Amino acid sequence: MAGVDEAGRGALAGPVVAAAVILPPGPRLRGLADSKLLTPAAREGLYARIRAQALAVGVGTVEAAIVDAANVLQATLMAMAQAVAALHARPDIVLVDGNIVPPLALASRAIPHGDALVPVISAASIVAKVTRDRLMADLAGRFPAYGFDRHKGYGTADHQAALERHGPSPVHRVSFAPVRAVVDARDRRLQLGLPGIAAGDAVASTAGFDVRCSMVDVPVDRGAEVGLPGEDNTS
Amino acid sequence: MTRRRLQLGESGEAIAARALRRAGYRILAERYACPLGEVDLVARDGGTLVFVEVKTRSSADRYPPGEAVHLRKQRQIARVAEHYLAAIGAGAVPCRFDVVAITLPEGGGVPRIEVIRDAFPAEGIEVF
Repeated sequence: MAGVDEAGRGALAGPVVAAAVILPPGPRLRGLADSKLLTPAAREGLYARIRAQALAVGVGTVEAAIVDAANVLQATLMAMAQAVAALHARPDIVLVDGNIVPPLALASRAIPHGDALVPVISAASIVAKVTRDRLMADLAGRFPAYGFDRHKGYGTADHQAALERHGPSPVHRVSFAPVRAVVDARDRRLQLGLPGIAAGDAVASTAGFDVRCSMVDVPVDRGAEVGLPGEDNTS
Repeated sequence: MTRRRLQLGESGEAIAARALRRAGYRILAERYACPLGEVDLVARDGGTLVFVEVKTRSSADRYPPGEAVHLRKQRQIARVAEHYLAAIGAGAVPCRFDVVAITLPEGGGVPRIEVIRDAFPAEGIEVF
C-alpha cells in the first residue's frame, strides 16, 4: 500500500512536488496523524524517520513552466504519477490524498482528507512538503529578490510586494491570477511609455530608464525555435 | 576551465553582485541557467531588466576583461535573455546587457571593478 500527496499546488512560484511512500507493516511511526498541525522542526524529524524506515519513497517534481503550459491540476497529477513511478517497490494499491487520482497502471483510490486520516498518506505529505521546502530554499539562493525561503512561493503580503516591485521571476507561475495581474499591469505601463518592471520606486525608475536601452520583442512560442543543435551552450 | 579560473569566476560573481547593489541595481537571479546556456546575473536597474556577464581576470592577463565577451558569447547571452523574458511572461520589457569587469591585482589586494553599461546592443543580435 502506497500513500501519495502533493505540496505546492496553490503556490504562485516554484514546482509542484508529490511524494509516494510505502511504509513497513506495524505502527512504527508515531506522530503522523495530522501532518498539517506539525511544526517545521517536527516535520523535519518525521521526514528523517520516514526516509529511514520506509520500504520505498518516490518523489515527482513538475516545474512552474509546465504548470503554466498545462494547468495546475494536470501538473499535480503528473507529479503524483512520477512519484509512484519512482518507487522501487510495487504497491498493491495507491491511496491518494484528495478526490482525484493520477493515471496509473495500479489500483488506486482517492481519499479526501487522507493526509489527516491515513498514516501512509500523512507520511507522503510530509515527504512532499519537506522536499519542496528544500527546493524553495535553493530557489531563494538563485532568485534572491523574492524571499522564497520565507514564504515558499505562497502568496503572502511580502511575496506580493516583491512581485509588484521586481516583476515575476522565471520560476513564477504566470498563469496564476496574482502573477498574471503583475504582468498585465507592467504591459499597460509599457504601452503608456512608462518604465516596465518597477512599481513603487518612481525615482529609481526614472533614473534607470535609459534612452539607450532596447525594446526586445519576445514571442512566447519561440522557445523551441531557438534551441539549435550544434550551438555551443556551455558558458 | 581550470580549477583556478573556476575559483576566480565564482568569487567574481559575488564581487560583481555587491558592486551592482551598491550602484542601485537589485539582483533578481544568480547564475540563471536554461537549456540555451547560463547568464551570470540578472538584475533590475530602475525599470530596466539587465543581463550581466561577469568577467574576471588577473592583472597578469594580457587583455582587459571588458573585451572578453566575444560575439558568440554575446549571442548566447541574448538567447538566455530571451528564454528568461519568455519565462516571466514578458511581451516587451526594456532590457540591456551590461558587463562587470573585475581585475584582480597580482599577489592579492583590492580588485578593480568596472560596470560597463550597455556593453553590447540587444538590437544588433541576430536572434531578435
